[in-house]
Amino acid sequence: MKTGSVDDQLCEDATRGAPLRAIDSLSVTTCLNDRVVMRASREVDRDAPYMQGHFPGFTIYPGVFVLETVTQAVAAGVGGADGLHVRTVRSMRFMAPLLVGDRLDVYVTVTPGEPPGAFEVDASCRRGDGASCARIKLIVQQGARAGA
Amino acid sequence: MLDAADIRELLPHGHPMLLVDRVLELTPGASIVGAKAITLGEQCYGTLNGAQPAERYAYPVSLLLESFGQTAALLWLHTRLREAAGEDRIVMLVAARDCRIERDALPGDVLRHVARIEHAAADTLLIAGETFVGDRRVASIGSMMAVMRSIASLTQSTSEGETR
Repeated sequence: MKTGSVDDQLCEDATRGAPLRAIDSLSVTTCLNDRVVMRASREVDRDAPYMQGHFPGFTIYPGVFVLETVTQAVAAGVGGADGLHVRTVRSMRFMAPLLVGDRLDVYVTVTPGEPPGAFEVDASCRRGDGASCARIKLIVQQGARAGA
Repeated sequence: MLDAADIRELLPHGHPMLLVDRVLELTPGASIVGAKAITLGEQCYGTLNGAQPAERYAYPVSLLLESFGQTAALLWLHTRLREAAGEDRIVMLVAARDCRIERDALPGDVLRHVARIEHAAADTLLIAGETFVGDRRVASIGSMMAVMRSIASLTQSTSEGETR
């Protein structure tokens, strides 16, 4: 994998079947010994899908959509042609609200796990003003979920 | 039991982010069972076509967790909202731990969320539970924390979108 911007088509492919496109831009910043560090950004937009309902008259980016930003970034960056699925949300914490016009910056570290095709994901999320707004740790697995 | 009108009144969420259809059981202050039907007509499936593999139709994990959280919020709001009457308040997910997704949920499935209160104090709720489709468990929720906040406390201006 090369450092640099991730092809926009990969980002778009990662949104299929998702509530919304949760990443505006994605780049690989570090790639060393199978460990990948990426940065994804998303501006909170009241006109994006689902946002009008969260909440009517007051728009706030749902915590679960921060999870979407993280998973779409991982899918676009390392998912491959077969995509990937979330096996476990180890932990999620949301520390600051993301309102219309705020930018979400996500710094994601992806490390190969077990079994083959699994990845440990550790995401630190900041709001555009520098405030820490979320921390998410996941296990994802390439391909379709077994036993669906 | 809470019907659709009750759900619309209690939850601050609106279409298409209102992700609970029906309350099946409710024990005040203790537990709730809620249902959410998954349909191909949902917005999340709008970008898919017949060329996409079947697994792309798995209900997004983000929305599954949100639906579970909203079900639990109904249990809380059913009791608390009378106390907070007159003030615009929203319920927000602030943390979750050990959420295991075991199976895909697909269009045509009905999610059945079984949520129990682990701890409730002031404006904080701690819940746990499981989600089923039929008798098959789809997900287990180790813990989920939600808070109730006034809209005024989340902004420093009266106009949405103004610079902080």
